[in-house]
Amino acid sequence: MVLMSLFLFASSVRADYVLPYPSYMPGNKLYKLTRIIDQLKKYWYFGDIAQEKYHLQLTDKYLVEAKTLFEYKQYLLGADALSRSDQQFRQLPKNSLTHEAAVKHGEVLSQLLTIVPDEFNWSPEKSASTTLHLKDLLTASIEIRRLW
Amino acid sequence: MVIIYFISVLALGFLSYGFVDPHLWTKFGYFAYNFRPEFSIAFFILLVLLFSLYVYFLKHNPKIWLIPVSAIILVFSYPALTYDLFNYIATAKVLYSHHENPYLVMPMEIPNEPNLAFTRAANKVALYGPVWIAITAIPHYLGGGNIWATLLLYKAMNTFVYLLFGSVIWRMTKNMKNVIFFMLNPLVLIEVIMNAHNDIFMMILALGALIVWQQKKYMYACALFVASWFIKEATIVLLPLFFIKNITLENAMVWSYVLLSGVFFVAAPLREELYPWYAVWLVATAALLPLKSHRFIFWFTIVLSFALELRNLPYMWMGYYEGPGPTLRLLFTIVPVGVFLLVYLLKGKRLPV
Repeated sequence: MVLMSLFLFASSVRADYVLPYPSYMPGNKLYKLTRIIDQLKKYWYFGDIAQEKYHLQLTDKYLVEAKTLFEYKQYLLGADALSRSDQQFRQLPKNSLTHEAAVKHGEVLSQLLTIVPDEFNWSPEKSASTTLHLKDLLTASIEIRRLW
Repeated sequence: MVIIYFISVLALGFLSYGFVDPHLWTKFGYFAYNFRPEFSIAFFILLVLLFSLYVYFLKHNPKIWLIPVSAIILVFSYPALTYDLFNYIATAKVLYSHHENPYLVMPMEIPNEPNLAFTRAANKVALYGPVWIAITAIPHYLGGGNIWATLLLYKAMNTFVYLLFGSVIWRMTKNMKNVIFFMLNPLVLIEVIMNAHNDIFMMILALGALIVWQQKKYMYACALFVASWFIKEATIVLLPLFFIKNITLENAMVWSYVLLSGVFFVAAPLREELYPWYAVWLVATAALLPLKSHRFIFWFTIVLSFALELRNLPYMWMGYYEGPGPTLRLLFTIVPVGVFLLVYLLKGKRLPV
């Protein structure tokens, strides 16, 4: 009876998909170096399985970078990081691992929808202004992930 | 004595097939596991015989053909005491068949890989350097995907390097005793030829580097030394020896022995465990010394070799590593070495070489 009850009331355990800690942010001395290393790693991560790991690693990294930048109201830089995350995500095959990543990314992006303005006008001193349709960008990113 | 020796080597080769993985040979797989005490006792008797005859042959130089014939017999043995050879094969397959980076992709990540049925620790990326990965291309491609052919080729490759190192010992020492000290050491025969560990590659390159450095061919020495690091990084501890001015080859070998012993006795157990095949480093180094002047190293290495091979017995008998296993393995190592140290304290320089 005791053994049966263990089976009846046992709960399954699974680990959540975990995003990495934020890496160097734009403005840090080492930021440009990390971007170069990210590009060079493409050659080290040869093979289909390693390539999947590479793209997954970078899509996660750039998503976290975008999230951090949006939270600090650095919308232009955040939008750039988000587009890089989307670019990496599109390279991923459709399987159970990338589906988990897609679900997690969707959660993060949905949360960002609640904290960013609909639009933001970036007006640098010596060049033309740019209007960022932030909610549209985030919605498009969520849609990309939804397909996985 | 030669006949008893050959019967012992043949028996060892025959016994090794008791440990064939059932996924490789369904009918006889793990045959020994149904007769654990019997196989363990047989293995112990063979160890005692082989080591006794080894000491006998050190005193009474045997005919040279004993060495290659023993090696050839063991080339056809099964790697009974370790699964490392299957890891070498699996890692090579990750790169050369599946074209994945073995430093990033584990064998178990390859879908439908049949070799996983008989590969343990497939949840590890490549543990060895790129020079070893490059060397494994030879048996991989020549084996043509046939696991038995590939196994044989790895062992043949090891045997070639083993014989090559024997010739290096002869060239450097001109003493047959030194050659026999290395080539008929049962631990060397078991771990280098039967189990096909890759330590012999690391050592021939590292010791070769020290020898070539003494001959003032510095570029070649650097290349050999770096190559040895890129097999297993243990020989990095020998780096200081290249910066000591006017060090003789003998002193370099003594210090190599000491430094490698540090890795062997301290670093290896801290990292994982004291594995018997690491003693190949010490036997190889000691073989290049004038043995008469280094009685302690001579006898310590022989006793240590015996004690380390005894470490296989607990798992062989019990079938698992835990429980009394660690304590028994420790006792099997400490007791013979402890007894030797006591005898050496009492007899010291009166021990024959």
